[in-house]
Amino acid sequence: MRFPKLNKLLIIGATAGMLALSGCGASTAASSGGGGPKTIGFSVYDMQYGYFQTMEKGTHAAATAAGYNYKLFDEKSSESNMVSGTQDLLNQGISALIISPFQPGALGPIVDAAHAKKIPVVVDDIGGGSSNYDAIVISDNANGGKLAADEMDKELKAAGKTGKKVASITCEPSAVYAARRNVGFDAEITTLGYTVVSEVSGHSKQEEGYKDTQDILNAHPDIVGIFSCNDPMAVGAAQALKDAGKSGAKDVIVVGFNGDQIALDAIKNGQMAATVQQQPDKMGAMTVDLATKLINKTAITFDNPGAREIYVPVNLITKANLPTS
Amino acid sequence: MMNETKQILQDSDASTLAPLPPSATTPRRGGLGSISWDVVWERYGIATILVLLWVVAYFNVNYFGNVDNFAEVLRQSSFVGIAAVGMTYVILMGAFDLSVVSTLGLCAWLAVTLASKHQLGLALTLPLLVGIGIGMLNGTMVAYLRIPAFIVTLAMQFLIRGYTFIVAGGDNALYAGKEYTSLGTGFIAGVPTPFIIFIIVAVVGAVVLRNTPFGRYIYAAGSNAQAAQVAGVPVKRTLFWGFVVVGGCTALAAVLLGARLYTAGPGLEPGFELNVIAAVVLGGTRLSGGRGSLIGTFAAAILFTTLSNVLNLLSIDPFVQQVVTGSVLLIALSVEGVRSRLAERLNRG
Repeated sequence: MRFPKLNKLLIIGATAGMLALSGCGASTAASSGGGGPKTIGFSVYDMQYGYFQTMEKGTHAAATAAGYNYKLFDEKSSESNMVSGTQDLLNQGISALIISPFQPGALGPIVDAAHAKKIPVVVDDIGGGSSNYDAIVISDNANGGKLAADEMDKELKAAGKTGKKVASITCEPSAVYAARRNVGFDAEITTLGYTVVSEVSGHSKQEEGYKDTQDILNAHPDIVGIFSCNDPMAVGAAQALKDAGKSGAKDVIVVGFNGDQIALDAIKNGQMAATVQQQPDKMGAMTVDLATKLINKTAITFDNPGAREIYVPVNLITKANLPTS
Repeated sequence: MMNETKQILQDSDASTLAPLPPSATTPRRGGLGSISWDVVWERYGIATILVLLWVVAYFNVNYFGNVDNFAEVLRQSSFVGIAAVGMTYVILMGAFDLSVVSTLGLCAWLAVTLASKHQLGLALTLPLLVGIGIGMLNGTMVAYLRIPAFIVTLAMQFLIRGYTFIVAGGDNALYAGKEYTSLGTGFIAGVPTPFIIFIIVAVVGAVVLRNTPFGRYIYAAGSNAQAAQVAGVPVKRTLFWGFVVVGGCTALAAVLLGARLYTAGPGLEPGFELNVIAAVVLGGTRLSGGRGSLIGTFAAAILFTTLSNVLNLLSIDPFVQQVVTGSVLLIALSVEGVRSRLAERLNRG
């Protein structure tokens, strides 16, 4: 209690200082419309995951190849980081923002702030929330499901199997993009003359994929194929088949989705037949391409204009074309 | 977690409560009038470092001085900062509150949910009542049932988070209506709204701490709980109300953060509790209690945000950023430890 006045003065001084600094700083702000190379900012979900490291590599390489400066921010799986760090990107004179959002719901303030600065926003995967983004890039999930159905049919015919009963394991109901995989699979496999006798949710979890498969085997012992919305559940399904004395690559054809390492290992070991691999590096390259079009105000042809969606192709991985790692 | 060590009431902030040994009130070498440089450093050291960092960054980091960027730094510092004002109260008493992260999630989810149902009045008040209620629960268990604050608040962290997951159904609440989100994203007279609220909370907090019996009780209880008890300070009641203050401040931060993000859910801001405690400790408040000030907390909250902003602007690798932040905390506190030991020795000699 010896010098309250000094205390107050300091608070006032510091606050005034901040405002003064911020005031005169305005003149030093570089403009984004100058003659030098433009900058692209990428806000990534979390660099701890291999999927996003690959996505980041693809984005960075494409941005450099297109002559952009490149700035990266890592959201580290936090919606608060995502909003504040992406705001930091917007304040550095970037010409376009690419973001793989940890929390699509928090895209709102980011898109609002970006559009206030006339910066276009391209969303890479995950989801767009209910925000007003300019474009969103996602895997061609429906076609991935179709590829899985075709492969299943091919392998069943090659093995001389005549059974027509298959099952489809879905991710959690809230994963709307992932749900398209099962829709694509179901449509194609039905066209090929099979019947989807069981469609259950494994909530994207390996242990639920295992349990679901046990239930499917009990109800339909003559099942010949299982498609899973993601790889952990497919590996769980293969494990359940193994425990029931069957093979997920010969007796029942198991096909997963993602291209996760556990699935590649399972394919290598003959425990499951195939997986549909997403290509996050190509998705990254696609976002840069879209950013360029948005900067130059070139028209974009959307795969799904209503939701401004662009699809990136997926790959079928079998034992024949396993990546060597 | 009350600090029960036999420490005499040598802290200058407790000077109004008890007669002090003469050495504590006589100016030291280098003192100016009644100001002791030791205390000046303790209170304004971090604020000085903050201003120095600003000056260095202003001239050396592109876009740092940009008005938008600067406003953003102040805005971002407000959420941890407001909770840290409350946290200073309990840390001054040698306790702390680990449940703030879950209180933040619950109250922010509640605020966004109510706002999305167009109950703006409730969205702004009910979370505060919930935060205060959580503070009362924490305070009762720590102060009156004498359960260590670490146990109580850690258990409450799990409990509240679990409860929020159950009522929220695991989903984030979403709302983008301007009448609510402007609280988090707006400006008043060119200054970010959350920062204005942060300043008000910090000033009110400082006035209460310095000019009311409650504030003096806090310093007294934190310096030496037993001596304070003997001197007639209601130690338990003071500790109880300290927890209420953290709960209330955290809820206020939550209402603003929900408005900033347009969304909130049970998993909001992992590590928030440690960021808040780090801001208080970096601000010069001793974890053992009894010493510290809100000006330090205020400056430290902004310092942390400035640091992460500067690292972002310099495009420093995210993993390196964590190393830098950890190092700064470690260096600041080691220097502080060495400095206070030196000061003690000088005073004795």
